[in-house]
This record gives sequence, C-alpha cells and structure tokens, in this order.
Amino acid sequence: MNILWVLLALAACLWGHGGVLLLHQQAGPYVVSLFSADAPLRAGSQDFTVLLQNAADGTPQLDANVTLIFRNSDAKEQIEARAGQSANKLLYAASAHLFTGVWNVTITIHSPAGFVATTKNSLTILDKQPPVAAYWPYFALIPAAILLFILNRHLKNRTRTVPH
Amino acid sequence: MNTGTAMLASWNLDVPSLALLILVALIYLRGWLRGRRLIEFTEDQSRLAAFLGGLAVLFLALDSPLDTFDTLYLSTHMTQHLLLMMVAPPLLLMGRPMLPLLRGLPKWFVKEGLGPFLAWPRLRRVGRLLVFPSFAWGVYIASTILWHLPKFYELVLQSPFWHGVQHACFFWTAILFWWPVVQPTPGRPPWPRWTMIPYLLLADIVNTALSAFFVFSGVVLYPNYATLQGVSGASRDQALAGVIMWVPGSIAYLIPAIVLTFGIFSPAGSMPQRAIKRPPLSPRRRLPLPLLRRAAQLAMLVLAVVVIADGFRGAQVASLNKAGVWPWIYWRGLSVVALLAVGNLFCLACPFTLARDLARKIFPPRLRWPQRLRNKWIAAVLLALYLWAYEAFSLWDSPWLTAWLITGYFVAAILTDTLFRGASFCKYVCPIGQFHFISSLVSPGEIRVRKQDVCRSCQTYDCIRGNTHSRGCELYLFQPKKVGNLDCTFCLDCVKACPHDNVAYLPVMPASTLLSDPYRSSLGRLSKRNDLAALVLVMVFGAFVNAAGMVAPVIMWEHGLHARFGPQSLPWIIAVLVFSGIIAIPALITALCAALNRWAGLTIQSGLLQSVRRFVLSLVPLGFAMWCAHLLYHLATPFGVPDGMTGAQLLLLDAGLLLTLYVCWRIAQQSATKIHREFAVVVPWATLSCALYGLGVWILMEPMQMRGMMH
Repeated sequence: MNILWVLLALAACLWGHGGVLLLHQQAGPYVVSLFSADAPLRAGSQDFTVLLQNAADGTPQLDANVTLIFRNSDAKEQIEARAGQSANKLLYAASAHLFTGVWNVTITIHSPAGFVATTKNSLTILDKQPPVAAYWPYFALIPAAILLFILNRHLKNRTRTVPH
Repeated sequence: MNTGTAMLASWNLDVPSLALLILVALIYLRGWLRGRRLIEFTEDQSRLAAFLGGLAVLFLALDSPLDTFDTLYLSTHMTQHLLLMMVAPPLLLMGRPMLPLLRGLPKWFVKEGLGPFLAWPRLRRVGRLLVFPSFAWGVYIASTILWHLPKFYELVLQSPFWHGVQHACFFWTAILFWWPVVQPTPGRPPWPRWTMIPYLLLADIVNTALSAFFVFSGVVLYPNYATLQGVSGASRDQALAGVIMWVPGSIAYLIPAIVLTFGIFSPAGSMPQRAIKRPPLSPRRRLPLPLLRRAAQLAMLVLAVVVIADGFRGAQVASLNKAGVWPWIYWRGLSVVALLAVGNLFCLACPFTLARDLARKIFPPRLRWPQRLRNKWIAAVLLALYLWAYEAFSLWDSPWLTAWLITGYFVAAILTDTLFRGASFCKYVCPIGQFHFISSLVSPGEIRVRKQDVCRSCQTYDCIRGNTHSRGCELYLFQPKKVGNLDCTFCLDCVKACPHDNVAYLPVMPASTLLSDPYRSSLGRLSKRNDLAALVLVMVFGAFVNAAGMVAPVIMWEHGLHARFGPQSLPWIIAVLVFSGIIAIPALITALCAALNRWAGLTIQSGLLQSVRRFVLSLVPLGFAMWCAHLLYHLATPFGVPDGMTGAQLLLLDAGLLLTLYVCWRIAQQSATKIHREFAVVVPWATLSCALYGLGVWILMEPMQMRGMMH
C-alpha cells in the first residue's frame, strides 16, 4: 500500500505547462495567433510566441520576418520574433519587458516575397505579484514540513507507548 | 527548416520534471541493485525494464512534441493523455517499485522520516480504500468524463495551472485504476482475480462511448481548437482524437483482460516465482584514490598558475580575465555544489597542499605548531578579514589583487608547512579550509570507519600513525573517535593507510553529527570551543552579509552613507558594516537568545557562553544554504540565469531553515531542564533562524549585481 504514496509523489512532475492564446486574427494571406507563456500577463519580462499560418490551408509559415511592437501612452518597445527559439519550433518567439497598463500590440509580418501584413490588438498588463504571492509554494513548504514533522513525532511516540 | 522537421524538433524539455524522473530512476536502480545482492528473482530484470519503461513513457508524454502541441491539436493531446493514463501507470506498477524505491532511499530517511507514516494504520486504511476496485474504477471513470466536458477542457486550454491539475488527475486516478489489475504488492487482493476482467471491460465500454462521441458528434466540442484550425480542421482533428482514444485505448484495456483470462485458466499462472541465491560477493574493488587525488591537485595547480599569470599580465577587466571569472564564479560555485552533493572535494583537490608537499621534500618541517595557537582563532579572524577585504577592495573586480591573493596563499601554505609539522596550515590557518570544514558538516557523506569492532581489535593505529604505504592523518583525526567532517580534508590518507580496509567514504544524514556533542578526535567537545563558535558565526552571518553586499538597496545605502561622511569614508563604512554584521550583531543576538533561555531557567547549560556554543552550531545548515543560494546564482550567470533560479534558491533556503530548526530542536531536547520544555528552549533560536531566513528571502528577491560578469 505504501507504494501508492511513493507513486503519487511522482505526479508532481506533471505540472508545468504553457501557452495561452491572446490573439487570433487574419492579416493578409496569413492567420496570426499570439500566445503568452503566462496568464494573466503581469509586469516584468514576458515571453510571447506567434504562430503564423497560411490562411488558405492552415499550414504553418516558418520563413517570414515577424516583428512585435508594444505601445502605450508612455513607451514603445519593438522586438523581432525569431523562429526556432521556443520549444515549439513552429512558433516565432520574443521576450518583452512590459510595465503595468494597457498596451497595444502590433504584429508585422514581412513575407519572403516582400508582402507586408499587420495585425493589432490590446493587452492588459497587471501589477507584478508580490513575492509572497508569486512564490507562495516555496514559503508554504516550511509550515507543511513542520506539520509533517510534528505528525511524524506524534506517530513515533504513539508507537513507542503502545504495548506489544 | 520545414514543418515536419520543426514539429519533430519541438521538444519541451522541462528541467525540474526531467530531474525528478532521473532521480526516481536512480533511486529505483540503486534499490534494485541492492536487492539483487541479497536475493535474485527470475522476474527481476523484467521489473526493472517495466519501471524504467514507465518513466520513459512519462518523459515522452511530458517533454516530447506531444506536450508542445497539445494546446494546438486535440489528437496530440489525446495521445499524451493515453500515455499518461494507459501506458505509464501500468508499466510503473509492473516494476513493483515499493521495495526498490525504499531500498534505494537513504536508510535514515526511510526509518526516521517515512517509517512512522508507512506504519500509520489510518494512512494504510486510506490507501486500501483508494485502491479498492470499485472506488478506483469510479474515480478513474469520473475523472476521465469530467475533464472531457467542454467547460473544463476549455479551462485547461486557457490556464497552465488547470492544465497541470488535469494531467495530475489523469495520472493519479490511472495509478489507482491499474492497481487492482497489476497487484504490485504481495497479499490477497480484495476481489477475486477474475473480477478484473469485467473491471477492464466496463472501463473499455465507457472509453468506447466517449471516443464514439468524439468521432460521430458532428460538432466541434472544444472551440479553442477551432479558433486555431478552423471548424473543418478542428472537426477532422477531433475525429482523429476519437479514433486514437477508441482503438489504442481499447487495446490498452483488452490486452490485460486477455492476459488475465489466460492466467486464470493456465496452471502455470499459479506457480510460485523462484528465488536464486546469489554467490558470495567478490571482494570490494579499490579505486586508486590517492593517485586520483594527486591528479586532481595537479589539475587545480595548473589552473591556479594560469589564473595567477592572467591576473598579473592579462587585461584588467574582471569579466575578461581568468582571475576575475574562474575563482569567483566557477570555483566558488562548484565548491558548494561538491559540498552539497558529496563533501569537501575542494580540500581533496587543494593545489596549495600539493605545492607544500613538494616544498617539504626539500625543506622538511622540524617544529611543532605552538600550543597556544592550536585553535581556530587565526582562521576565524582571517575569514572575517577576507569577507571585509572582498567588499572593501572589490576583490572580484580586480584580477591583479586576485592573483596576489592566490600567490600569497601559496606562500603562506608553503612557509607554514615547511616550518611546522602536520597539516598546520590546513588545521589552524587556512580560512578557505575552515569554510569547507564547517560547510561539510551538512554534506551527505563522511570519511569514517565501517565497523567499530574492527578498530577495537586494531593494535597499529595506522590511520593516524601511518605506515610504509601511506602517512597517517596530518590533522590528527583518529578515525574511531572521529565524528563528522570537521577538520577532515578528504585527503584519503587514512583510507589508504588502514590495513583492514575499514575506513571509507560513507553516506550520512546531512547535519547528523551536529545533533549530539560527543568527544571528537583532536577537537574535543564542540560545546567547549569558543573559537569554533566564533568561526561558525562568521561563516553563517558572513553568508548574509556577503550576499547583501550585492543587492541594490544595500549598495544604495552604502553610497548614501559615503556621500554623507565624505569621499575618504567608504573603507570605514564598509568595515563598520561588515564587522558589525559578522561579529558584533551575531555575538549580541546569540548572547540574547542564550540569556533568554537562562533567564527563564530553561537550559541545563551553566553559563551563557556554553549555551551559545551549543546552539550556534544549529545555524550551520541555514548559513550554508545561503552561501549555496548566492554562489549558485553566480555559477548560473554565465549561462544565462535560468527561469527557475529564484525558486531553486528559495528551496535551498527552505531546506537550510528546516534542517536548522531540526538540529535546534534536537539540541534543545538535550539542553532542556525538564521534559516538554524543549519547545520553550527552541523559541529564541528558532526566531533567530526565521529572521535570518526572512533576510535571506529579501536578499534573493532583490536584483543582484552580477559581479565579475557584467559592468
């Protein structure tokens, strides 16, 4: 029976996933999908990925130049998204440092044939999480371990006091 | 790169999950090998293959392109779920992992940590309920149906967190479901064996109904996929997902059902497995350890010479100079990794002792180290001075000063040890060595005797006296009385000298030698050593002061004071901050903690100092954890700080705090005047530990100056 608890611990490795769809629009001959690694988006460094598909047959396009331009009332950040940089090699990846507020994102695609397509959307960036909220599992580990230890001692003492 | 190649190259290697899978595989393998030494079953190798195969399938499901594309294609996602629910769990259970995993874990952890839980009747009852066939079947089917409802499935596609929850649910419930089928533990199953055939067939019926709905429903169940692929693409993808669920899914249920049927009707199925007695083990093969040590020392000596040469003659830009990068980034980081994983490997490969050994061939030492200086005061003062000089002269930023420092180290080691016998430099002077001695108290291994009985019958004491093959311990550590790694340079002389092959590197529970205060060879009782307590305080508080010196608020504060007190004041400001941080404040705080215990009449220690000396040792794990968190950050910097760095640093601090609290509690048990007073005794020291932990967390959360790498 104890094996069950050991195996259940294995399931911890099933966590950790990414890729939330933020935008899906047609731009010229392309269908553009923008993903972020986190949801909701928070101030700081954010990883974005772009999937570029042929609008006619849905096949991914890997040979275009993709540029992301983030604008708000005070700032502008322009980043070139590169193919093959993320785990999903069908996507163009870029990292942007954004602060809190509403941003307009413009995705510009330069096809090898010289065609330019553009699509726009707005993103809301929330405040950065306080460290306690961002790293709560690491802090929760200590009281959890202490509770387990207390339980461990309690069980051990009980075993000692029970006559055989 | 074309689309097909790009898809096949899209591996989503998740380091923590991969590390966990490798760790589990290693633990199982270790336990399996240990088990085979005792007795070998004919099915052993197939169990090993099944378990490792199960882990490989998990790896495939979690890190392969299946994982990368699961939010884009339902068919990919379905294949991933199939592996998580129908392939990995039965394979893992077929490996009968309980004994190998328990055998593979450290004995102290199984006995002290897991033992009480494994023997807890209530937990066993809960476990029995979870794998009771009707319950396991119900939970598995409910989880499968629930997570495929569009509302929940769409949530999964929108949220990484819920995606993780879904995968965890699938895997956990599948473990429960396959449990009664595989029967991985001995004992009578709750239901007769034949009932597992309808058990599997009923699950297959549900699976078939669900997959038929995917294939024939005619509507796109999950609009998220339609957004990306269009309605017709998503419909085709959904039908393919249904077929995957239907055909391979049904096969996964039917094959075990058929095997069970044959097993029930075949007389061979009831034959007990045969055990094969292993022949006696061959004698332990000895590695040429001293030779390996010399090779490591030689390599380190060459590296030191290169660093010195580049420091004196190379570009005086730390990040471009070997003297700015190798010692401050790599050597320090790798040293703590070695301490964390093995032990004091730096002293083992120390280039300074190689140089002094060569010098001793020309100038053999004749004097004995003065009696009055046989303590750690010189080393403690030097360690404090080093921590001050690091900040005051920005040692990390000056290749020239670094080269001088290493040269000076060589000169000091050679001078000291050509004058005085034994390893006087290592034992009484070297601050780096003392740092490693203290830190290695938390290491998971120790050079110690295998069996005390063998030592009791020994008449020659070669481990300390030496013999024709090897010199004895130069730090005067008599192995039968040696406790812990303090003062042990891992030189392996005792290992080589012991004629009974009774001294070896053996695993120990980290910090276990801090729990009690026995007489230790050449050190006495630690609770009677003021010098050691001072050294420990410098090392522990130095970890926080050294790391704090890198973070923006502290640097700004220093600059503010500098502007206020004038241009010449900076060295004095740094001196006041560093020495108060590593000497004055620790002395005051620890004295206060001891005074609180005494005032309340809680401890048996007669004096304030005695109490301080006993309890400061409990802070070693936390101090070492802070050094690790700090230096591993530097080690990772040249490769680009990985995403999970702060999490890993916090985990190290967590482990340090928990170990510190545990040691503190055990010391309090021995020090409390009355039974059940130990919690009251612990309070001041636990408060101090938690305050240090909080300080460490604050430092780690602040942006760090990447010394030696960026300017």
